[in-house]
Amino acid sequence: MPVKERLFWIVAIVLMGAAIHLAFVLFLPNYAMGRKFEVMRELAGGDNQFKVLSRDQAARYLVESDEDLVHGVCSIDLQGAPVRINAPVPAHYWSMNIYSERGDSIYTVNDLQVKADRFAVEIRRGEDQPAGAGETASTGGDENLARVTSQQRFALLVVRARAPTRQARRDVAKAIAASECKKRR
Amino acid sequence: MKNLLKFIFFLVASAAFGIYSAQFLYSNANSLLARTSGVWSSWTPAGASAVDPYTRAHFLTRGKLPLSRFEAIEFEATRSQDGEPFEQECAYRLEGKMPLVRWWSLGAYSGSGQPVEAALPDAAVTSEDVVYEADGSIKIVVSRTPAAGNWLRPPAEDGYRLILRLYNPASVVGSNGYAGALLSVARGACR
Repeated sequence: MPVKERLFWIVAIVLMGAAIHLAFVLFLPNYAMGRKFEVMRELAGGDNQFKVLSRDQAARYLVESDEDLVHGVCSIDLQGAPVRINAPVPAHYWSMNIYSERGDSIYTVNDLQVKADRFAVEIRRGEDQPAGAGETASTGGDENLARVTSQQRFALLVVRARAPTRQARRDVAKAIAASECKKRR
Repeated sequence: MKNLLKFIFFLVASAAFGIYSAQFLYSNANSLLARTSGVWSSWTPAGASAVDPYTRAHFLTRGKLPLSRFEAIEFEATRSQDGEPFEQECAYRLEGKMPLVRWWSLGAYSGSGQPVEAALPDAAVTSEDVVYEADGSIKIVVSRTPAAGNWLRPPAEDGYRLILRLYNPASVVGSNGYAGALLSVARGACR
């Protein structure tokens, strides 16, 4: 093969490889997150339903999850109306994370930051904001109610609560099962 | 025919180059994007509201949802200090002092990300159930056969991962993540 033709193929492979590299890095995580939403929706029985995961479900669907944590999830659909999350805050470590459709954490809070035994978050879709304006969060004057704005229709809530013993695991699971994730009418 | 073969080679070589380079950057613990402390590596930007695509791919392609780094820092070890991947036939000795955080946990996970025999109580060690030495340091043995003292049972497979999580690490984490020392991981006897 002449040198010129060989050079052509090498450059073509590098350019095509770079395109595949970018496609892989940019699109595969979105696909994986889409699958995660489907699974969580299925486990909870639909959107805007809070579900405490069993230990096996957490191990299987929240890969490499911490064995000492009890997990609760809710697939949030913001179409039409905001969603209000209302959660009891147990005595041990507790955190609430809201993930965007891209898998980025758009809101996080833990028990040390909450000064009450219940905490609420209202999440709404910021359709009026320009695209790419990003997500915003505020407490709006009430320190036990956070207001979060998301640019996307779906979000995923994950509550993690620590259960240091097996007995505590049952109690913590029961406590966080009282969490609500409902559309506001 | 010759041109067709060239084109097929072009497609295969491009795909191999593109996929391998992407996976190398987002899944390799020694990637330039990961921060290391001894054998432990962490992906510092994880859990932020806007992270780079490689960090996002690192977690999501494995099915994981990253915690905010103010919530927890996660470190992963896949090899002992001699550079060899973990083997189920070998025992490993973890030694050192843990940073002062609210609480921490150490677990052993299979290559597929599933925790070890979830029903067994020895699949994780935490700051509350570990026995400390007089100077505040800890020693943990990771082996398939039970060992005296702090013991962690790894998966019945080679190439498993140890994951160390430091919760509420605000007092030890800087803008570039955690920069202090973590547990050393020495290979012991192999069966």
